[in-house]
Amino acid sequence: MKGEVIGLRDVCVYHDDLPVLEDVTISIRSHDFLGIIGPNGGGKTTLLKVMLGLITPEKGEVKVLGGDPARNRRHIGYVPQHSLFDHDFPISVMDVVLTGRAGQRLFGRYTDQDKKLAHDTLKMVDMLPFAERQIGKLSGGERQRVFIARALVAEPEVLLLDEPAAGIDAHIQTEFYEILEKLKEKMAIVMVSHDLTAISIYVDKIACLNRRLFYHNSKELTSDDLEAVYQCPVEFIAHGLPHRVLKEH
Amino acid sequence: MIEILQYGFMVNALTAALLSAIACGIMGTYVVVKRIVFISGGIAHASFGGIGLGYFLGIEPVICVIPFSIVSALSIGEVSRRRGLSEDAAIGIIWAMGMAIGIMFISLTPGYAPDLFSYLFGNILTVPYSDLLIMLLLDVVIVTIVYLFYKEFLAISFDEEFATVVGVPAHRLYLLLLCLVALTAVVLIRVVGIILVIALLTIPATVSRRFTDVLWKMMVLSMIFSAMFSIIGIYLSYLCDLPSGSTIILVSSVVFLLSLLIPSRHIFKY
Repeated sequence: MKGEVIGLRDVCVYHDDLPVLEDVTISIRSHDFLGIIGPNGGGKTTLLKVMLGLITPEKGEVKVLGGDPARNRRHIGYVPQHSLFDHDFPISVMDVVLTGRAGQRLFGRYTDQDKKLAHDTLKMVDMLPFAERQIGKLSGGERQRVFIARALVAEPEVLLLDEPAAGIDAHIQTEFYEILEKLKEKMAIVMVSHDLTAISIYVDKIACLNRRLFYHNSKELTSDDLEAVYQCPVEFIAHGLPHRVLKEH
Repeated sequence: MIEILQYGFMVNALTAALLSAIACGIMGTYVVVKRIVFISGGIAHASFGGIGLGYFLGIEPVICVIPFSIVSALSIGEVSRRRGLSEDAAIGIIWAMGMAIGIMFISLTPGYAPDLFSYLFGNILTVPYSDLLIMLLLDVVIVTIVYLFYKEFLAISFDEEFATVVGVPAHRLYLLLLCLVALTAVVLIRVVGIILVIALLTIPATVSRRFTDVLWKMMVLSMIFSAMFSIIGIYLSYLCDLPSGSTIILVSSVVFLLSLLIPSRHIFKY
């Protein structure tokens, strides 16, 4: 398909015979800004890892930029769940961002171009003044911006974010989503979250995931979709047009 | 203190202390920041199999332990990654297996096993000149590889999964890192013995961590601490006729405990 950056067809993943993803089919095109919502344990992180080639599905086909995900994943910027790393690690903000360039060539030091890119990317996310700070000595929102910079410094064509807003204050989340707004001019963005309201304001398309994926290539979900995903009736709040996620009902 | 340098064995011991400080400062830093202390303990203990094999084949045990410890490192690195197998159980099994192999070979070797105790608990006062050469060679290997892969090792230590995504061959480099830990264990065998290797891999780096937030500075500081602990330990063990390996570890432990008494907010980080 033309303009497709990531394509999954009938993907199934099992952990110890338990299905985590079932028959997931989705096509992400350049400049898509897709939000994926779903309950915890619904397979959201697994789905991202399948796109990155970190998990090989038992069934189905995964294409990244038309090829093998393990080979083409260097064109994907990945922002993992930020709570999962060691905050005490002796590394500066600048060096964290530089690790985004570590795969460019094996052996030796970072080049001047690597350093310039890291510098510019930190500037873009307003974190340049913190470049020499140890990574643990930042607030949650600041750290999240550093991880975005680390993903962007390899100049990706698509950005995958795993629960980027978790544990960040609401007013800082807004700043963070504004960064994403700017980025979507340049690349496709896939954001996974369990926070439906935040996602609905910014993304252009929404998918719902709980083992199975419900996606209509649009920003609308039906109440049936949500019920199927959350396995119980979901209380809707209709926000008026700019925030609308659900069809009028 | 100067007059003890007249003794050849003392010069050898101090040289061994300095040579081992290089390996353990660098690799101990990785062991601590990457949190592979238990894996490293497993590698060090499992390499006892190589000592036993050396006795059995009549080869110098320190030479035999090099390939053996590398095999232990690779097996622990691979086995602990298996899905459905808990990592610490895998480490524990290989840890014990290597030691059992060593004991088996030693019992199969006819006659008495000289120096066995010094491989287990170290005796830096009896390091022969040939071992110093091996230690120097291993230091050169470790320093060269870490110099070449510094940025990759930093990337995989901080976030292995992310490093994989950006195209770093993270798993292979992780195995390489474990092999270097294995070589460090070999360097340290003469100093503190297989059983106490893990102390010199962790204590200097842990103390250093409190004084810096920069990885390479942590390595340099760990080298200095490690050399200091060993030299003080050697001097005390000579003075009071104590076993050198355990004296070095106890000196390190005391400094570690004292360093905990300084509140972190009073430490200026370099």
